[in-house]
Amino acid sequence: MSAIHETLEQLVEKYFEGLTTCEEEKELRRLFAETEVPESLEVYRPLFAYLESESKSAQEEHTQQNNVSPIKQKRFRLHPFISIAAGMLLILGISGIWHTLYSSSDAVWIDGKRYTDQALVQQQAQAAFHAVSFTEEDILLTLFEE
Amino acid sequence: MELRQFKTDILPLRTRLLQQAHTFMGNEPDAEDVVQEVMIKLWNIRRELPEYRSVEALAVTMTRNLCIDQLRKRKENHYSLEQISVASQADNPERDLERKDEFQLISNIIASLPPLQQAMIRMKDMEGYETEEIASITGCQPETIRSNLSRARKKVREVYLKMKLIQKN
Repeated sequence: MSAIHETLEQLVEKYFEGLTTCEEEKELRRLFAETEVPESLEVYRPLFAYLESESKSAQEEHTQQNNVSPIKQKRFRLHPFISIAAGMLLILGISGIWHTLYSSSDAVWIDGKRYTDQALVQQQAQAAFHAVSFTEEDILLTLFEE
Repeated sequence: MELRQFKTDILPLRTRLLQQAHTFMGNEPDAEDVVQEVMIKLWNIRRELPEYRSVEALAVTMTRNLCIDQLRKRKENHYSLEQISVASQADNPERDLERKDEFQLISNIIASLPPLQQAMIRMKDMEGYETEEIASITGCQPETIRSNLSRARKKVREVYLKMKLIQKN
């Protein structure tokens, strides 16, 4: 038996015991693909050919994955910025509404417009009170109305 | 996420997952197999892990689901030799390319192995991880990995040789 056949048999034995390194397995697959093997090992040729082809496609897949990963990372990193921007918009919106409603205690709305001029506010308020107020005479009239 | 970060972030979950799997499976070796498989699955999706809110919750769910799968399979047992043979012929009815046919047969045999053994063959024989690396990922001893790998490879050999014998006759 030639030395290479002996090595091959030992490698196959080690392989099935789970003792080979990846480098040795590569060599094993190469030997099965490129050389004559002893009759007793011939039966394993398709197995190692299959593993070689699967190993190649797994490595290609791995390379592809590495190529696409930066895009994935970019998409992922964008996410917190969008959340922060949305949060800030929400705060600005709420504070805007708050400011409009409560910032100045004296204001008057005329025809949908807001006026904060002190004299105008007082004048409008008095006019409004006047419109709903009763004089003593009004009360007496209401009481003795038929 | 690379191996160093995987080790610090994911491997500490191992003890908890092992306890959880033990409750389901009722024995240490089966629980250990489930957790090894969970670790390999987590390793395979390591790039997506930062997108999960809680990796621990994910790992716990994966463990639970795998345990349930395993308990179901205990009842069914895996493919029989006949099923592998039928599947192989059905996929390739004309048997025009012998090589393609052999590949299909081997692929079917590997697919019929328990998931953990499939994962071992995929990682070592196809993806090129060293035994020590798989041990680091799964958080168990290299000897455990070696023995699982050996069992998987011997099973493939055994079924393959049987199939060849059936084909010859």
